[in-house]
Amino acid sequence: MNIQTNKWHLNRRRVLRGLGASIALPMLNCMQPTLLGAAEVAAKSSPKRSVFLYIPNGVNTLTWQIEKSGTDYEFTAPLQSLQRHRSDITPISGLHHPMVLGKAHNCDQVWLTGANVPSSGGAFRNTVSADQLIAEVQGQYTRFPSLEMAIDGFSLAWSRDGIQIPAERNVKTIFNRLFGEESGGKDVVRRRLGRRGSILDAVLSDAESVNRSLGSEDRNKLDEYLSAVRQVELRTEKAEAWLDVPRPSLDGSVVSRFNQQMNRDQVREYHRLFYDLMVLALRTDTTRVITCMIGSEANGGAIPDIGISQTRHGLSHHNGDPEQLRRLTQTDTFHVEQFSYFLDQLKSHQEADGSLLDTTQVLWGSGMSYGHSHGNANLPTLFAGGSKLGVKHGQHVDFNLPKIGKYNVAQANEHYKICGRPVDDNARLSNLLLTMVQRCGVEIEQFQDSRGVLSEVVA
Amino acid sequence: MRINLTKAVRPLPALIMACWVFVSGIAFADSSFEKALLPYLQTHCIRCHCEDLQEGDFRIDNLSREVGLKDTSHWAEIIERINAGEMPPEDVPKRPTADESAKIIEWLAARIEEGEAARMARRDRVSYHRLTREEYVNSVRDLIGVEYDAADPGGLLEDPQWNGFERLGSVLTLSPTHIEKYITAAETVLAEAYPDKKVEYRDLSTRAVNMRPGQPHYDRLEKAGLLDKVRYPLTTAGELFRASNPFRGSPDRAFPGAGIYEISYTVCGLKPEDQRPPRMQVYEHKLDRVLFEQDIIAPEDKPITVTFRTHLVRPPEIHVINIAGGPRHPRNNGDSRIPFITAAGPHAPWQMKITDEQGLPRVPILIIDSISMRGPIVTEQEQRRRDEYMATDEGNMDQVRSGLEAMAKRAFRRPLRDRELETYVKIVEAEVAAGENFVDAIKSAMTAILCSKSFLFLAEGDPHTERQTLNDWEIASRLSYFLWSTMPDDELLTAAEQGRLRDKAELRRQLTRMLADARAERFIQSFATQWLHLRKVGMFAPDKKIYPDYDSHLEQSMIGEPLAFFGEVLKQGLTLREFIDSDWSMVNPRLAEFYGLPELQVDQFQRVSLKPEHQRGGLLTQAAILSLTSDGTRHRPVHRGVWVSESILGRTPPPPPANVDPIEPNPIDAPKATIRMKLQAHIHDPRCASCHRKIDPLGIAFDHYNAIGQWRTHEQVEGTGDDPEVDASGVLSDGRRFADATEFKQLLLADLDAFNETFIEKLAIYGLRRTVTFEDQDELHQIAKISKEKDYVVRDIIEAFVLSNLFQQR
Repeated sequence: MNIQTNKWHLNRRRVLRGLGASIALPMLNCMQPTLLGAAEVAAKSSPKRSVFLYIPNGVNTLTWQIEKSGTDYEFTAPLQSLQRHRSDITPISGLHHPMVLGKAHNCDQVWLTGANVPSSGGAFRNTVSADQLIAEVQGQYTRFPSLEMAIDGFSLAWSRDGIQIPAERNVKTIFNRLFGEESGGKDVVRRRLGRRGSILDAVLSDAESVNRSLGSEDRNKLDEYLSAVRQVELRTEKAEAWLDVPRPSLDGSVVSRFNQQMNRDQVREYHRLFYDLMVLALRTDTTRVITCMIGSEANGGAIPDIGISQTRHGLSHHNGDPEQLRRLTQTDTFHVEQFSYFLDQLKSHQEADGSLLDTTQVLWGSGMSYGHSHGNANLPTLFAGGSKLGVKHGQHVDFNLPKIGKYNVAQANEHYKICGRPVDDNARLSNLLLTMVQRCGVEIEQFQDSRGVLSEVVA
Repeated sequence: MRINLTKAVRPLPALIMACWVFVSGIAFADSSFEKALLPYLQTHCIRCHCEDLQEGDFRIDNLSREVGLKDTSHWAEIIERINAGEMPPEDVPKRPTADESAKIIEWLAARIEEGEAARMARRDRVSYHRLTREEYVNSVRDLIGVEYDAADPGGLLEDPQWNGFERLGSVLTLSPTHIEKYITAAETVLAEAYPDKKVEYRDLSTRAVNMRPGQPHYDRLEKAGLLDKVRYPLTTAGELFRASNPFRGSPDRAFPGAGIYEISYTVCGLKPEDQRPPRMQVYEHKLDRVLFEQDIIAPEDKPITVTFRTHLVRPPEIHVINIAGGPRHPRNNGDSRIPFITAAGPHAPWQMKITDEQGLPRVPILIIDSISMRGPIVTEQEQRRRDEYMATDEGNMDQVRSGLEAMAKRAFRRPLRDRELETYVKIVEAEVAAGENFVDAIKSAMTAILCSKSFLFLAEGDPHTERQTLNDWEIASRLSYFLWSTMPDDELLTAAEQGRLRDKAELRRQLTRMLADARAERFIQSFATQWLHLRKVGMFAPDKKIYPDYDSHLEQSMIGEPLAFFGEVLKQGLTLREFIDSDWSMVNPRLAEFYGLPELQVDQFQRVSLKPEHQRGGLLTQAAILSLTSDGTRHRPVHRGVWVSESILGRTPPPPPANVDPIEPNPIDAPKATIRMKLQAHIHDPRCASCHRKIDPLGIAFDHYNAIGQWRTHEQVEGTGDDPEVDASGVLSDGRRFADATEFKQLLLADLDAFNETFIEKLAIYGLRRTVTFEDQDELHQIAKISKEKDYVVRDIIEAFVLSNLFQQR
């Protein structure tokens, strides 16, 4: 009779039946036979954190390209702000997703999945994104398995079923979800969760009764519904398990900072608010996996702070106009500076024996390189942090140079070709994604079309 | 046919020189695999890609011959390789000609298209079509009389699109977040329907400026009897009027509670000659929602009252802005410490005069007199429904049962199945047992109803048997969501209950009734938006430097035109021809100004006649269409061609192959060249040229219109020398020639059947909530035939579709 405790605990068999046998489920604490406190579980694991940041529309590849590989490379102009992070960062050249070459309009959606986008368009079902694989492992220790956000644009995260996990764009909403106490006190919340549990139970049993009479091939959309409801059951269960763990207590100034109304035209401040929120979420171990879309591929990205009124998409179709190219470089520089700021903040938070950056690997990049003609080889890619995860930095890893000898960005069209067609077929972004998920304890040997780990960044 | 998830809706770059192959979405297989493909494969491919050699680890000899249904990724790869010219490799003795390869690619691509459409349209034993966000809101409103603000932050998620369509079952996915949001939405809606404390209806007014004793000028105004004549002026676009909330002052003036409110402003608007009139925008800044926007023209002594409704959950925090006002500067503000009574009246010495010597306005002046708000407004029917679902006597489970049954039946749009009600009744029992109060326990059960599959999805079919035709309840829902984007009303449900909806005379009667209802406006808005891809308007914000006059008012005006135009064609019984060309259009004052038409006074869309010199007519030369096929900076002939091809001619060109050389930028110091010239300079590769020949003319015809749809004779481009003259002439793939858009439209009119078929296909996709396939061809042709017999009258086409067998099939 007690909804709050026994009945509401899921058994693992039921969950597995629901999610399909192919899904390796982490041992969620709600399934553990004894009531192990959520905080105790968290304490047992040393945090392995990951952040994925996407920059839309590629970059000005002519000013971006670092020309020398190895440890004594020089940062190009837009990357100058990374100088102070040199020992914590690896710029990588030459990576690509083979299945999306030339099919440029979905490149944000497959950046973390590497899935095939049908060239004819067609109904598009994505595959699971790297961040979600990590969340399956690392997410069991935190209140939120992963956090999907977007300064503008859409989510980078895709579920096992290839369904987009929506991103939140409102800082205040995210902040209050992560740190706000539910109103009414613990008992009221427990009651609310219990009520939610019985609602979910009801809609689930209603849908299951139909599902049983359908043939196994006949239940696409219903399965999707069932799977979604079951996951909400898990989330509800998890919320209940975490109810006894107090939310991190935060200064009033922090709370008001994230609750203020922001002026979106002050882009620098606006972006930093998101970065600060990410740092806060990581440092309090509220989540260990974050994806953030920095801008919309379509219509965002003007930066009035630095006098840029055009959208990033508009600038990326520069048609060779030197002024447009100059501005594109300016926005590249701006975004890298914010990234540097993020790394600063991660570094400034000291943990047991190192900084937050040491336990956080960060991928910054785009699914596009030469936006003007939708070239998406030689993707701009920056990989940082995570030394305690066994990540190694300090060099420019370049997969083009061994084949082309040297860069010649003065010959723009020649360089654009490198950005349109991969020089090295084996230099796949999936290799890096495989490396990243492995660093976080995901036990797989292959991610999408990977050809192996990126040994250059493994310590 | 192509998926366009919202974030993916981006046009291709202007100059991409790829090989486009024309395929019809639903073409007949003109010949068999053996005839069409096998000889080519045997001659050119299988020698290497066979069991023995397996060049590149790739075999073709063992691929399925059911192209489009099986091994699709391999066949797609083959297209790519041939398309790219990589295969057959250059070192083979006998290479196929470009024409031979093009034919093969065309055949393969067509089969893959068909297979794709078939997969998307695949009907399981039960098909589930999730409600769109818009449909959810409308349905909840009809079910329980509560407006849910789904588009507000934290509301429901945007729906993905496919070729502009937002309501296809196979495309509308569902994530756990959706479920969480549905739960929250249901709780919010129920809290409003059954508030904890009784909500009083209040109707309150306040003057825009309330003079109080002790304020400067109070005594003077009191003596002159002018205290109640003080008004609030807005003359610049930067000033905000913030005092709109009458719900304050004392407890009996408190905001009553969540619900729909009617808000009125009494205002004047002074329009200077040769300038735009003042434009009033009412903006709830906490919700980031524009509640109302309109041009205001009314002399100072004849104020008008404007009224609108909105949903509020807390006291409104409203800014009123005159967005047509001049730039902000303290000297330009109409407001000063001197209370404002008339525009010509006294003003502070440091202020600019806002009227000239004759007392006429020098800037657009908006004057606010007073505000009133009344609500919450609940209609009798809405209250009756809420009451019907909720038990009145504490603990009375019989009432609980009958209430939940009434609600579930309406929510599920069908009678309940055996024991279906038990699931929900049990929640009430369990919640009460867990100590919950009676009303909240019932609300939990109601939440479950609102989150159940039977409410969130339109289900068609039977879990226990194969059934291809719809039953009466399903027809009622299909018809209702088709025309009204919401659940069936009582009359439709009754007709379904009596089993009358498969009778065509009854269907015709229902259609007539439903089209005459105000809710049919939703069909006009929704279908036109989706068919024409109107969500893309403004997706690439026009460059402020090139188009300084472009703003959200103009953008909304642009979008309004095709919507109003579609409505007019439907309501006036006009034909498909009007969509291609017309001597009239539907514009508002802002668009009339933009098009250079005679000035209009009333701020609404109205029918105006067009003359040839206006260079407009039909949909294709409307600013919305010309903008959505541009990128904000430049017009895009190739995109325009693709749009005409897809939306009018019903042919979808596949995208370019992966490995085209990147487009080389045009040097800035080169002589000025139009985009057309650059396009032609790039078509040197015969693989590209053969396809672009078919597609580009369809877009080049509109080269006289720039990226926001303005008419021009010369194309403004960078470079040296004079701006080049526009050349909009072209040759269609069948050899017919045209000189410009006007002639091009005549060619389309001369061959209306392609458009007829396309329009019907779009209508069917929208109505059936699925793609159409080869199997639907006979039915679609039948509708096309009736359309032709009825001279392509749009109203009759819709009737033919609703009365067709197709409409009653799954």
